[in-house]
Amino acid sequence: MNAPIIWIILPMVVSAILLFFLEKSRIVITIGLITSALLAIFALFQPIGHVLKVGPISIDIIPELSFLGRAFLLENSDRFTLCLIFFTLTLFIGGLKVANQPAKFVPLGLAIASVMTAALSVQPFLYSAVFVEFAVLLMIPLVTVRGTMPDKGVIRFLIYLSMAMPFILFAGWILSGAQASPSDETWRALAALFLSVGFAQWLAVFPFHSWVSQFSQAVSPYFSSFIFSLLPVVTLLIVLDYVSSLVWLREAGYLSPIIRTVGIIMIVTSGIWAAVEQDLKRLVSYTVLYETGFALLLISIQSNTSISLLYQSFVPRILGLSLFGLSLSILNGHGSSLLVDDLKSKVKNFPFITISILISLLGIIGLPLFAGFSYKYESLRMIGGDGAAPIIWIMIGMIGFLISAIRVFSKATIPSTEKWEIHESIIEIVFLCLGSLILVLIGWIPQVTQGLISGLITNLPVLK
Amino acid sequence: MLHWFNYLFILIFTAGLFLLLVLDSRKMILYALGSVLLMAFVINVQIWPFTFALSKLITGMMAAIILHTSPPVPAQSVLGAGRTGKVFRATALAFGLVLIVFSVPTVSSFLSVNPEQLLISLFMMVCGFIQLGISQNPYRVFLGLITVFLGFEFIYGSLERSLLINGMFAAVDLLIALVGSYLINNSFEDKEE
Repeated sequence: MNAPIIWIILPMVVSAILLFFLEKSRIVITIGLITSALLAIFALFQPIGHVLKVGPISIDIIPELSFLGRAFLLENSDRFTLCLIFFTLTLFIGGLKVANQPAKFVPLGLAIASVMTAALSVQPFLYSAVFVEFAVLLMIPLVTVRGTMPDKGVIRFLIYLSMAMPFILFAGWILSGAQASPSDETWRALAALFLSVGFAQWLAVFPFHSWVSQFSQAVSPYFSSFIFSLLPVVTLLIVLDYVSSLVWLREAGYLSPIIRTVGIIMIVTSGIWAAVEQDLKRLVSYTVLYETGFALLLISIQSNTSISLLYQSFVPRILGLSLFGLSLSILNGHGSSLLVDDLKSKVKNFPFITISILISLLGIIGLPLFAGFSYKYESLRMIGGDGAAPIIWIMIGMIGFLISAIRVFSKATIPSTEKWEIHESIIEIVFLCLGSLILVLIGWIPQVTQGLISGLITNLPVLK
Repeated sequence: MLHWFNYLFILIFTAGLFLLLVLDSRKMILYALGSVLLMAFVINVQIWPFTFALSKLITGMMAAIILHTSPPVPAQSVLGAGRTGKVFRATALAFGLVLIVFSVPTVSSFLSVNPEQLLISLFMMVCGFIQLGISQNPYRVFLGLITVFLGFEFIYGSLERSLLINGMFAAVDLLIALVGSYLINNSFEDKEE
């Protein structure tokens, strides 16, 4: 059996079947949860290219699947990514009922995960742009609510991400010509320009970031955190593979300074916006821009250690975002507004939600003893070798986010005459406590997650 | 230019684009897009194999018809649906077209693409960008996306003839139309509880 059949075609088939049973949400969620969890576990434990023996049956997991003269290739080095994609999906399907979200997420989520996997595995690599476009189009029905016109944010999301496809495909075509005549600087410059515009649109890199906050304001925080957990991570991996495969690009002297500057701008601007932001839904988008900024910083270092660190950073990033999205969704489900000013004394009614929001925010900021600390500290240490100026700018961004966390804390804990009355249900408390506990544990003992992940991270993209 | 009569086709094609941008009636928009695609087909068929050119025409028409099946949405143009908005859109397209006409010889030799094909694809892309840029009406936005992508496909089809990539382009066009139609239909259904 081919690996692409397992991780691309199987979830797509399950997704198509589940679409017919949306009325029976419990069954749909259970099947979706089992499928995604099994695919994640399979990626974690089963080496690709080896034979799987179950009693008398032996299945050979072949890495390649040919289709119309092109191929989908999933190798052992892709197992981490597969694990990440399906683990994220499992996490979000698992919390679907608690977050009070519609069951349509399950088939659409499976289809999105399948298409994202196809984007990462398609050969030649430039076709990944078309698969990302498919994924974006599948995200639209996910985020729209029946009976309401699509919001400006959703429309912008679609336009910005769709416009990336022509740029990347065109750059791919130029590159195929440039490889025939590698000395032609004009072609290379043009390809680099098109690639950078396309990637900037995918990653919502400054100045193509305006849709992010509008989008997260327009849609459910649970769905926006799912999309922001998956889309930037997959596109970052595609960017890494692109850069790694082009020797002239990764050796270009301008690559590192440009990526670093853009990364710092993203961290600083998102920090400043977060400091003054009133809407917690929009805060989700700033955390994504902030995390992408750090990811770009790690890429700009262009070393094996920094890339390994980037891969490891995806775990706390996804966990932090999912807990943030879940907390906001539960709070919203209780009829509470998601404006910071409306959080007054909420700790008395929603103590677990308040604590979860704070833990996820502090983890995303990278405060000591929280999930994101180890890799953010390491990034700062690596960047610090090149002078103090970048560190100062990054600290400004971090302080901005810290201010937003303090604002949430101070509003939620304002003294009032109201009595303590917990409105969260037991299942909500269990999910929130579990999420918070995992995030705190990752912060306390980061070597455990690093140990788990490092076995899967092989054949890292070479950037220098 | 391959033939003198291509000027005539490009003229009809351009008129179709102006109508596409200016008209409010959904039926007329469909006709305008149909004429644009037909003229593009007539030009493409002189350069591409017949089936390849036909596949682009059929995909475009199918996407336009799928989108057309959605119920009409009240106009929400940034510039309003009035005469001023129409004049602005037409002027923006005219400026875009002038810019393209002057840059076509250089770009054509740079990309080694036939000037007629380059002209129609860039015209379509400009028209699509104008729709994407100034309209908040979902129908217009999806129509704009389809127009931009079809325009891009005319250039890209000349550069890359791979069956898979062109098949995927067709799938993208149809999926955009389907999602657009779903989104508009969805907004007219009863509100979710």
